[in-house]
Amino acid sequence: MGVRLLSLETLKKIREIEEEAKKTIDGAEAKVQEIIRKAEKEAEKIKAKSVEEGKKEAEKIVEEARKAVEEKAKKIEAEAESQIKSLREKASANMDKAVERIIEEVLGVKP
Amino acid sequence: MSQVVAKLGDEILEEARAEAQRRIAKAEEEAKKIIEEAKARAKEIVEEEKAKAEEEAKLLERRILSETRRKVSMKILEEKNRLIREAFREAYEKLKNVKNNLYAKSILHLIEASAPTIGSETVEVRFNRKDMERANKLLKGVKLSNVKLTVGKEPIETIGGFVLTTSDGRIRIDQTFEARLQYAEKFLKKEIAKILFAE
Repeated sequence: MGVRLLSLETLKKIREIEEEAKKTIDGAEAKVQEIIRKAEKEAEKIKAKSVEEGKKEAEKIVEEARKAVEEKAKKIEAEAESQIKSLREKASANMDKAVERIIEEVLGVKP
Repeated sequence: MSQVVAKLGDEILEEARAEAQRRIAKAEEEAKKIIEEAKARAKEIVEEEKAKAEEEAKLLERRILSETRRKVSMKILEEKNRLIREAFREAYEKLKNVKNNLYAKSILHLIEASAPTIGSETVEVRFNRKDMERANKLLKGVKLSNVKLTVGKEPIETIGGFVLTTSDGRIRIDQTFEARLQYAEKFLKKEIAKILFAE
């Protein structure tokens, strides 16, 4: 029939080769898992760092805005103070005239 | 035979090594992609945080400025009102010491203007104690047609002016300086503000 049976030794050798090939693939697969795990870990680190960085940037923006707006508010308050001062000066200069007008109204006749 | 097996073995192992390399290379590619995606996402996170902060900063600015403007407007308004009240307070103090001839002129004018409006033929005029004593002098020269004026016997508490009542006491016109001042404070406020704060 032309069929030649493989010897035990040959079979053993083939099994050894298959074992070695499997080992090589398994080793590579472990390395693959390690590469992916490492990359994912690194990715998480990058994202976590960016969250921190984002927070810091945000705090800086808000803080700078707060300082700027507080300056603006101070200016508005200073303008108001100056307006009040001017009102007091005008009132002081015109008080007699205003009082005279009130008295005229109450008396019903011109003083 | 053993040579065939050895050759086959080498081929299988070579193929396994090549497959291992392919898988590792693929994993490295994937890892690179994971890192790149993470970096891109990281940029987005920072930009998102910055955008949120800028929005927050705008709101903060709007809130602080509107609160400051409201506060200073209130302060200015309060100061204006205080100065107006001061004018009325000063007027009140001066009304306590109006010169006699001007005071008499005022009483005469106010009685002549208000007594006919009460709608009664007999009208009682009530003064403070001081004016009761000089009532005849104050009322001398009052010109009223169809109204008989009598002076009340009970003094009233006032710095000046008088109260008119019908004989049955049902109608009353308060012309004391306090009442007139209180009334004036309501309708004269704008005019006084205009005088006080003129250039």
